[in-house]
Amino acid sequence: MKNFNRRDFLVFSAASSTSLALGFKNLYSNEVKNLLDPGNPLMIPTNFEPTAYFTMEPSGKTKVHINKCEMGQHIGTALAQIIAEELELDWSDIDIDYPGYPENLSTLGYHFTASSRSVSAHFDELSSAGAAGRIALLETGAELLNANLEDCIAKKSKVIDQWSGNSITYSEILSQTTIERKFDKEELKSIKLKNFKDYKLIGKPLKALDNFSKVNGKAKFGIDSRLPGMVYATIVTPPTRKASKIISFDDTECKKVKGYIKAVNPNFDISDPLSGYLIVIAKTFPEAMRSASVVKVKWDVPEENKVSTNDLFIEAMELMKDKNKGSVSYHEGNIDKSFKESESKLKSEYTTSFVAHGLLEPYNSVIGKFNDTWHLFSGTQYNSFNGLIIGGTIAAITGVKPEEVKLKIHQRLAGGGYGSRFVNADRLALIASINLGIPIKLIYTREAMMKDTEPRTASYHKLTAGISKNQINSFHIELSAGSLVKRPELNFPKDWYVKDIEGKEGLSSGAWTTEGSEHWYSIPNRKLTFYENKKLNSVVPVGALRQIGNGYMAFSIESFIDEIAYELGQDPLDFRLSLLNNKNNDISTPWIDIDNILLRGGNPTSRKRDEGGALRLKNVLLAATGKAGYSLKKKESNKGVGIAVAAQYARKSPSFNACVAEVKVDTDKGEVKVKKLTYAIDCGTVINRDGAIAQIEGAGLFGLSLALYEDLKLENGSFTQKNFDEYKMLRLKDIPEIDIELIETGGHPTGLGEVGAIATAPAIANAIFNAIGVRVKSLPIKKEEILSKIDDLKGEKT
Amino acid sequence: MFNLVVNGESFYTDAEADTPLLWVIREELGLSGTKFGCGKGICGACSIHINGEAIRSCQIRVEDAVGKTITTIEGLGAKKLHPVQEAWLDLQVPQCGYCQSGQIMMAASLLANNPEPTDEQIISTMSDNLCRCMTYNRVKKEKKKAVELNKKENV
Repeated sequence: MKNFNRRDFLVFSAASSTSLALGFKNLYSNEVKNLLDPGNPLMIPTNFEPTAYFTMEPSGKTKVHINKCEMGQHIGTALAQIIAEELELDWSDIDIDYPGYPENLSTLGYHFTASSRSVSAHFDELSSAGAAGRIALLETGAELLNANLEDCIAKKSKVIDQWSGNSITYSEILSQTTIERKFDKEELKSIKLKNFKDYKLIGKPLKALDNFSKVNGKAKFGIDSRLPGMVYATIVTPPTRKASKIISFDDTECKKVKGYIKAVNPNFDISDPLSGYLIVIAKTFPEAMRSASVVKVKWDVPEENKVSTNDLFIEAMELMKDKNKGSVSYHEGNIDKSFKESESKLKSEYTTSFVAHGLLEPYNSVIGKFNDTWHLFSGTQYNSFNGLIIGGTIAAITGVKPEEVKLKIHQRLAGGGYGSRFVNADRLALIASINLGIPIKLIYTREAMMKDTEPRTASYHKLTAGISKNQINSFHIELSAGSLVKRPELNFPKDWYVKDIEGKEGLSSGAWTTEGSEHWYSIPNRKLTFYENKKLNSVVPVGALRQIGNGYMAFSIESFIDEIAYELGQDPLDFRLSLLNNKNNDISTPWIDIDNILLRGGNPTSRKRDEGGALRLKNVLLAATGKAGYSLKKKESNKGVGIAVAAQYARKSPSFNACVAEVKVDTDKGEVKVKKLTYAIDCGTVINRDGAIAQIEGAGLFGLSLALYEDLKLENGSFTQKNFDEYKMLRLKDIPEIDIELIETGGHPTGLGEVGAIATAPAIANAIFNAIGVRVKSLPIKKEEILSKIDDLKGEKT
Repeated sequence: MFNLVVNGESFYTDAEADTPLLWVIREELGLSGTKFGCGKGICGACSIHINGEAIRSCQIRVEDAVGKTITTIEGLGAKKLHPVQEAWLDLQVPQCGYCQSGQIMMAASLLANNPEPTDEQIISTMSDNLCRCMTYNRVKKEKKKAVELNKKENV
């Protein structure tokens, strides 16, 4: 098989259509043959499609086309609310669908569902689209009512002439007449959109449009797809996560299994995260599993890959000994000078483990070729890229030109995404289907999921602060981690790298990797140095997991800020408030603006910090602590309270989160019980209040699960936990009381999928310190660390 | 050949005797509301009712399900939504929705056997099911709501 280079397709895709079809299509009538009475043609009613974003039927039903993966965030409901608001649509007329590839790419632009950007990135366009539809309906409605346009208003799917009191419904307009109206870009731009205070639908806790099918078993996830004549496949994973190679396999025992068809070695290059995978195919899925359990595979296993997480931390410590190996992303003031002049220095080191996505729906793919078109069913978060990569793979294997490959992707729901749901199962299923010439349904077992994972990177942090006159004057973050963008086999465009500002040759960090390191605390001398852990990247293909950098950066920064506060004898709340003042706050690390690249065909831009950022963070901190009745005064022994703030930094406008955690520590067992989590979150404008709260509840508990339980163990180059009995995640019995306050500033809406997860772990760690005086420095928080530090404390006292 | 009665309908399958019932229900009968999560009875996504009890369908051999009354999520609210499903919608519990069939089947079975469960009983039963979206806060509230709706329905 030709080795497939993903970058070709990133570049190829960037050159293809990115503009939106905004403009009115002419109406048409489709003639359809009436099979019972061929002389009398059936007519399909005409639809009104003012923009690519939605279609209105003559019945008044309006279908909003959601170019996103639905994976629990109820994104369709939120985006439909935005359109219905400006369109003045009666909510009962709304419906949604999820268009597939490639049509969605040419009409709606890139399909990618990540980084909590769906609302934030599309809010403006959707608002304009809805407003343009309303204007066209108003104009036509006024004409039909014989009314002056300026007397007419649109309300609840009706055009009303306020002078006469006559009205006409959208449905009546659309079934009576044909609208031909074009908006050019300038006119579209000039449409005046509603003010925050005038919203009627935006902000309302409307019920999610997809939830009915999620309680009656009708919702269709990728794994529920079927194709005629399909057979089943599963995979056997290699002994190391990366770089193992199949030497040979023996399927003698498989042949004794009823239903066994064959095993296929896709023979991926050793740089590919699927290197060493074997596909086993049978008539049914249980038969495929039985066959996979008896196939004998010999692998060539690279010795250098047989490392553990601890080896990777040792590598990180080695890297940090040589500052010439560090890529500096920002440096304000003069950190070396300031350290020299400081009266004292404080240093602290933190680690976080690998974390798995733990999706409940295992990876799967259903693919087959019918006539000359490939059909793929997938709950992918990024279907444009699946399309380009799978199309490219078809071309590479079959020799068809990429532009001549016919591929349709049918977008399905995802049973959890969190950043991970992409193309690997599709690539395997495709190869099996080409090999056999029949449709394939490929499903990972849970055991394969645990091995296959592209987890959140393990990370090693060294933080140093300089202190003079009881004030912090310098703050240096050194981080060593793996980087998704720097994964060698992915060939990300170089402009997605964050260059070393000192110009050291060959050094950079990747987009998102250090996200969160640009904290909002006003400290005159600040620096970030990133040490790329290439060893880590060569043994584990790290991925995105409900925030990349912020997932680990918020833990180290917020823990360290707490340490400094106690060191200075200040309340951690007062200390934070004093530093969140928007002074000296212009960190200008280049920011990789994915929205700009993918949606608008623009270049990555240097970020500009949003006005008021630190003050908004201060505001949520005050709200959360006020709501929680924050006080350091001890009420009971071994109980404590901790706070943390975090924002999604690399955003056009970030979401701001403050978390207050209340914990109780069992000092005999080292066990932590989280009693209550209070959040205050500012996301500018809330689109759906209930959905927003659901996202924060879920994300907050996700953060708790990461803080206390989730520890994906790497040993000998492979992840060791086999299933959910060994990989622990939070269960219902361990959830605390949760209290959430949404702070609405009326600013541009931002994202909520991730922000709730990131402040939880540091708030818990800080609460543990407040409870028992033990500073935990590793995630997940382990009882061994707590017990050993309790012993240390006892030792200090005696 | 094994005969199965699922949601009141009779089906035949030629699956091997030790095939997990889950796969027959999902892939042969096409009742895809019952989900595959872990294959080991740990996550609860595949929970169905066998003779009214919530059972992990990935842990039941097809042969052992013969002659039993099998109900899946599709059968639970076939005529009218079950009070648990009503409560679930009312409180907007689902996020991605993948674990929800299993959660609902667990909750419905708990209510059937114990119309007024204590908080401890609710927490203990529902802790058997994993939800990666962590909808637990609403699952917990939902149970109380379902108890109320269930009572109303039985009056």
